[in-house]
Amino acid sequence: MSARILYIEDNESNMYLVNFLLEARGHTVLQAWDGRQGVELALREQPDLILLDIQLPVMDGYEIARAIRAEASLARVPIVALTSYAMSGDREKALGAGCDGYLEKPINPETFVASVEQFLPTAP
Amino acid sequence: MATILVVDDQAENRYLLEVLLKGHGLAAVLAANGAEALALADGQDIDLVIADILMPVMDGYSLCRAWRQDPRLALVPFVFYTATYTEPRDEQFGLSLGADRFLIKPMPVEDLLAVILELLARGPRAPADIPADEPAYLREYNLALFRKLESKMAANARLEEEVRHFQNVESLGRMAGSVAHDLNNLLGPILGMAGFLLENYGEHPELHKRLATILVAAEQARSLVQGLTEFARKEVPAFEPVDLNLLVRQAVDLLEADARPGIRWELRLEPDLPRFPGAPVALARVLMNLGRNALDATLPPGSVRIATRTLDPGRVELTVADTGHGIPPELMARVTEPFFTTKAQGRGTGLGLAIVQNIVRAHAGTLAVESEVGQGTCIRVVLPAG
Repeated sequence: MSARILYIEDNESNMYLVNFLLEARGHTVLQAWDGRQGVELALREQPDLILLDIQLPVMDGYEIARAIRAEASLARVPIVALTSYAMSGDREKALGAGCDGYLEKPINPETFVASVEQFLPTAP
Repeated sequence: MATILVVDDQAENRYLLEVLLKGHGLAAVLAANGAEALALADGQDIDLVIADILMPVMDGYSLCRAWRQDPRLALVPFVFYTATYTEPRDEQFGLSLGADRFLIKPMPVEDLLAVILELLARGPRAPADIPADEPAYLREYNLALFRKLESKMAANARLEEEVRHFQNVESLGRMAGSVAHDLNNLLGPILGMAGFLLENYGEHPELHKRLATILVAAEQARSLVQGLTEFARKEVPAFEPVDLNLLVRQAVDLLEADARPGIRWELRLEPDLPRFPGAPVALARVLMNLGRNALDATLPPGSVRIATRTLDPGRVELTVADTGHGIPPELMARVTEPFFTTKAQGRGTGLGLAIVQNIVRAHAGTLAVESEVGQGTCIRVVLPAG
């Protein structure tokens, strides 16, 4: 099953790596480089899933998650946070802000896509 | 017979390796990515793996790790063979996963084969330490993959730029061809009538001067149109065996008339240069254009050196080097662009090197420009010779 996944990330290396891994498995990736662009794209494109970096400038991941959840059309889209391995408090905060789950950075390229796919809504 | 597993997402790369291996008495099985490779290895014995790195579904690093973790495969030699090599760190990372070699594409086939045979002769390797699934390893893995992606993207961008440039030149060529045709029709009567008037009423000094001015300008226009026609010419004339040295001597004879005193010709022509298939008229044009550019760029005292030599059995090289004013680095990228010229108005059409480029391409050759401001310029043309 191929999904449309929005990835909000300001770091180029992570963006291209995740983009490569997801596309290599047949998914389509929408790229947003900051929160404002991310929420805009989410509203317009209605992705199947949102991947969200937590450490972003201006509007951090928690704010973005709350902003997405505040939109009626996006209330049910799964949001998966990418949290830094070192920051254990991030996970609870991410779940508290409306994320459905989190994955740790650095990601494991071998298992990353399968982990993301677990959060995809099952086809109706 | 040893069986080699070739893992590459590009079908032509798989095919090339398959041909090479089979040609040397080895069996080849082919997979388009890591996952396919593991599936293939499940059903048969593999004696050695050659794997690319960036592949969809499962990349080469993942494959190597999985390979080393499988007790049945752990001791089978594993070779990375990858094109977009970037840093020694990539090699270190590949070897840290238990790879036996990290080879850079393209590699001379004898060398590649030698590595394969050496590893096969050595047989099963010692067990490798597989890095644990910890953040430091993952970070290194992320970076290694990203470096690969980055160099691949850079290569793609360069290719796109080249394609775009080529398309521009092509469409310019088509346009130039139709403009040249119309202009020629217009220049006919101008030249004809001015000539007729000059012949019949030319004794009047004032009229003579004016008519001569018209003729000179119209002649210049005609040579510009001729350049356009040549630039736009698409059909490649039939190839025949060409004596490049002879063409060089003929071109120099013609150019000598225009050369300023104090410019020395230096010919270094390889006596036994093989004849090779080419279009003599087109190659003569190459020599004339390069020679004229060199002369125009060089102030006396100076020299223009033309050299020919066999590069290797399959290729000949022609160089035209001058001691002229050189090309500033910022203009280097534009020198083969049609209509780009730094010569004075009316002196150059900006088509000389563009025409040379087209002809060299039609011969499946390459053209390189080296230049240093104040030192001179060297144009290097390499043509296939057999």
